[in-house]
Amino acid sequence: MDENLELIFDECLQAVESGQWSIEECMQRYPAQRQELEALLRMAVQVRSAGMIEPRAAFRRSARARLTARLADVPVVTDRNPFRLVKQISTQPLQRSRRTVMNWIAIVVLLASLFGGGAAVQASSQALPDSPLYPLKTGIESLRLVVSSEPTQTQLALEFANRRLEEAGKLIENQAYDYLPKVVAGYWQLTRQALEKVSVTGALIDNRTDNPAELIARQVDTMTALLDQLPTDQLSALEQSLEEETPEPQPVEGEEPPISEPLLTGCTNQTHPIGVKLATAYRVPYETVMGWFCQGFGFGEIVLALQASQHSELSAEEILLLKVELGGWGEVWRHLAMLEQPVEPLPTLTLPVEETPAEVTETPTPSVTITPTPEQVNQGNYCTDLTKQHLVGAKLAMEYGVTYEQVMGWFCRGYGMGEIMLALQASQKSGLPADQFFAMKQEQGGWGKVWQEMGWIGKSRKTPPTEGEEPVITPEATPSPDKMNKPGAQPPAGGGKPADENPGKKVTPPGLNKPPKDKLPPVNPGKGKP
Amino acid sequence: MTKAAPHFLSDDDLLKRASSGDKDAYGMLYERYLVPIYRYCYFRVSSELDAEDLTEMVFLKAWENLPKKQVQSFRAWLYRIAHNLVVDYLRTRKNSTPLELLEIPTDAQSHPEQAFLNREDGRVLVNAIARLEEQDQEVLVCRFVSQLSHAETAAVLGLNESHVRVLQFRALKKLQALLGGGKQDG
Repeated sequence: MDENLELIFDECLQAVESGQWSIEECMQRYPAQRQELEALLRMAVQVRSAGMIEPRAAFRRSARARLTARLADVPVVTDRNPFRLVKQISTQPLQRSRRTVMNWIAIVVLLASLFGGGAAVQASSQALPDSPLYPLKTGIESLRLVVSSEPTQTQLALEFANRRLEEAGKLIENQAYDYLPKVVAGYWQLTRQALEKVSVTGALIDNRTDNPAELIARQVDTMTALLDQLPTDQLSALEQSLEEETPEPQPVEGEEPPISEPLLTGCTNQTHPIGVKLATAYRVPYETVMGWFCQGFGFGEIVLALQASQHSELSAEEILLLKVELGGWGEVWRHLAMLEQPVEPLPTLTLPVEETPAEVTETPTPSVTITPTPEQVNQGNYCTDLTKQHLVGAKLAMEYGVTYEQVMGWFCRGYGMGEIMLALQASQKSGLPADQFFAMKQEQGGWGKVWQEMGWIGKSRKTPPTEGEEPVITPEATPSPDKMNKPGAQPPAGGGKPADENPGKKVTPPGLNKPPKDKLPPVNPGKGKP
Repeated sequence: MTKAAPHFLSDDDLLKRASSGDKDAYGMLYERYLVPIYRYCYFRVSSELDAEDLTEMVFLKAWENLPKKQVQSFRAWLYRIAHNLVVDYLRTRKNSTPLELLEIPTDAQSHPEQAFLNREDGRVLVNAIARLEEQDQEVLVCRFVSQLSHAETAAVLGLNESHVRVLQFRALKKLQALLGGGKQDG
């Protein structure tokens, strides 16, 4: 009976599918099987009808829009291997091309765009580097980065970097070290990309809780902590592997090339992969980076400082010092943002001639006479036309309780507003006149040395709290010596938590876990130095 | 020489061109099969997000392996790739998160077919199909969701046509029973 019904059903189904019969016509032909047959045929038709679902319209729309916008910029690749294509796209700058509209790369891009977002997030929790699907996953990520625009692109890069961190964590947990170089290299590439975008968008200066630069810093610290768990031989192997992939940095015109001394093993007893990467990425000597690290700054903090220095007239080292002074990155951003303010002259303000900077005599104890060279002296309008007010100068004066004329006096002698801020901050902390700090800086050759001289950083730091100021020594702010930067140690608190959670509170500068180098790391070339 | 309008090209023609490097041709194939392949994946894995991922993989894998020689049916070939990827996916998923199935609405008990229309047709159906055995799922999705012919379904699943006919009938009956509209047939 059932076998017979199967045949009849099949006949009817084919006829219905081809439009030859209706279900009713079939029933008329086989009235004896009507009850069972009709239900099954209707079920089949309903399945067909209910199966007419569509992919999410939002994906399709956004993907198509992105594709339309980007199509002309996508390089034409003739290689038929899509994975090679992915590699090329992710490593080549976009080039103008108006070749065929629907070339195959566009197809792949469209595909990647269509199925981005949550789908990829879900997939990431499953595909590990040892999975055959892993290259596909990273390939799709690269494509999504290519077709997205800011600020999505940075968010994606950070999201994908986070995936690499999770993967690295799982690999280390499973002791599957073979895949680690690939994951760490992938992480670093994404971080670099995000950093480039952050510097382009200038989001760093935004004092927002979701500041991408701070997220990057936290990620860097997480990676550092992960790598600290590696056995020494694996860390060396990883470092070697990463170094092979890292091109030699090309010296930038006008900048001094990185020092070609043997890599500093410093407080870590061996070359640190993250330190190498940072040095390469920011074109600063490895020794400088490790000098900061060994002073207790986390790599995350170092990233923040290096990144911020690109937007500021302060050098990375000065920014790190500022962070020590101010206690949190939120405060640092606020101060840097002050320096970033566009300066518009206010014609309504007039200054009494007798209070020009040249006549400022409030320099009680400078041990060294400040004699900037003429070309270094600021000859801007604000120094010659006293009717114009420098807004940043005015803000600094207000912030630190000094006169505008004092600030402009330093400014017109060639100091940048960032440096003036540092000196004022140091003055506020120590009770010594700001002029003394300018003199000390001149003498010592860098703010780091001044800070060291004052005992605020370095092995013999004194951290003298000013009146009414309680030095905040918390496990977070000041790691114990055995937890300072060395293999197996967690990153220092400041690095692990760069966001300012206690604005206004003073945090003691991090100390050294190992004896410092004979000399402080060379000061990172900055802007606005006299 | 004017190019023929791609819309009028058969799968075989497009495949031939795509295999020799014609990117437009592959684009047309992609446009043609994006939604059907997505539907197939969606009904097999019961997850929108996973279906999206899998669909993407199907087209990437297809591109990577475009056949140099003429295949009997590009459609069946493409679905075969989808089938393999889904099988792999399901194998890994078995070891991880169990599939959460939706409750079948109560009004499906009396009028199962109508229930599809009345209440989240697709989702109810997807979840009902997901409760079937894998081979039943495969046949139903190939035959009725993807609307493949018996021959194509046989090619995708590696079965012979008569087996597909039997399986589709039984799978439909099981689905019907599952939805409360009839007695289950083993």
